[in-house]
Amino acid sequence: MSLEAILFFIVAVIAVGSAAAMLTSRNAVHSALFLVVNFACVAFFYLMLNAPFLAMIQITVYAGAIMVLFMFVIMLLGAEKLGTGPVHYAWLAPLGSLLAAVFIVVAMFVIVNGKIGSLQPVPHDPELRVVHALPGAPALDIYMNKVKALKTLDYTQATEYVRVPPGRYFVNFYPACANGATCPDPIATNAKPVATAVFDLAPETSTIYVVAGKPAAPQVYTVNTTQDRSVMADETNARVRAINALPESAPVNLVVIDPATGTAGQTLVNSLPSGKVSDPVELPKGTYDLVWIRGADRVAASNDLRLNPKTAELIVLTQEANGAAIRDTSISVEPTLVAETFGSPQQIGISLLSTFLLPFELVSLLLLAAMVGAIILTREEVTRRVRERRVVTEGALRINRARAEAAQANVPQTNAESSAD
Amino acid sequence: MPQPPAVDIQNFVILSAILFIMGVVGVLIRRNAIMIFMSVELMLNPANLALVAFARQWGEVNGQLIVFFVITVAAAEVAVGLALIVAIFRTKQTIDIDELHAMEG
Repeated sequence: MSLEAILFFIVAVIAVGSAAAMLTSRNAVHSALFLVVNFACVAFFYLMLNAPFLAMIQITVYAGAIMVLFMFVIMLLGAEKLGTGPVHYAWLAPLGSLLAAVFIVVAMFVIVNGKIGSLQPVPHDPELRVVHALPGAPALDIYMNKVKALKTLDYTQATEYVRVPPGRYFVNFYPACANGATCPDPIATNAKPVATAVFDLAPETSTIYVVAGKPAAPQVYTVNTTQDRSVMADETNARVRAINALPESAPVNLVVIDPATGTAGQTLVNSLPSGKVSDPVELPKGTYDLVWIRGADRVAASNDLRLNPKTAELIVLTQEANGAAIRDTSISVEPTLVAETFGSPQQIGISLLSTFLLPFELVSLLLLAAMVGAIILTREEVTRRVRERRVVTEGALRINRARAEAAQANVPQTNAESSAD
Repeated sequence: MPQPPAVDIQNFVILSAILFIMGVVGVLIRRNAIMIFMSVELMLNPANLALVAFARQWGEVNGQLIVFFVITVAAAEVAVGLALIVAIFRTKQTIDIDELHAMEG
């Protein structure tokens, strides 16, 4: 048995034992303390299951705030020993225990027969983004299997990562339709695409497609960025990957330029042939001047490139149209965030403020409503008692008045009193 | 996605079921309203534990977020519930639920 398994069983026994002690102790204060032990055990399990943030919430909110509230109310009401008087429904305890026993048998049957431990998650859909690095070409609309998937991608720009179902896609790049203008549907009119490609997308992968090459003969390069987006060990680093998308070129190097002297420093990528993609390189965060070097020539440069921590960047060596002439240039694609460690506070925070923003706001409203409700509940009690007292005094006054009238009229007192009632 | 868990998820789910049942028993057999309320908290916790265990198995953080919301809602529930208990105690001078059968037919 592994150390984790031994620890699990020890803490599981403590958790069940504290729950049993909580149920059986006659003093409510002792029960509350046993419940704190149980909550601490659950927090330990959260830590074992890679949920450190929830473990801290469990300790502070549950074992801390909520249990202090319980303890406060028990002490306030003096309710330590309440509920131990004569029993009205003696049949409830054995019946409840019997039902619980039946429930646990059913639950065990389902859990063990359902083979919960061997269930496999559904794989994520692949994600892809497209970079437009084709010199002299207009903005592009991208049709995947004859459906417009991404629109108006300008030169040097990149789309966000989009998720699509896995499979093979036949992709056409058409000149983009200007905003508001009505253009003929390129699929219906069988227009000639600027470029075509086939995307083969497997589950659980990320890919960048770079449209580059000569304007007359475009090429679509595939960069598998699954590794780029994986969790990073050093959280102050950034990942850089380079692609040489020049149509015909001798191998090039990507070099960091020392800003003080202007001379070449660290070589990031060594002799990258035409059409090839480098391995990802990790660099400390900061601002860099990167230069592509072929032999002794500086081909193109990405100056003042800012690398933020935990991002993945792609640098494309391609060409740009400068009037009639075409010259080499270096494009840095807008970086994407690297995946966060599973269950880390950062990951929880990112999800809370993106996918779960609406529930998050609703829950905060609920907390506000609960606060107001708690105040009203206790205030209502006070006002109701005041009203009761007023009714009682008014009734007494009425009786007194009736008695006085009866005494004056010499009518038998009992009749007047009953009529007042 | 993280490595497979060191302890099989099934063990966590079985433990969750046991703790949940203990909470149910507490609700059924105890007569002090505060004790019943604490047993409800004891039932909420194993449900959270099962959610976190499945989140770990799936490598999906959504399960953990649901637990976050459950804990928040539980905090709101405790605030209102204890205010109710205090209000009942002020009017009836007891929180023994066997005594509180004013609505019994």
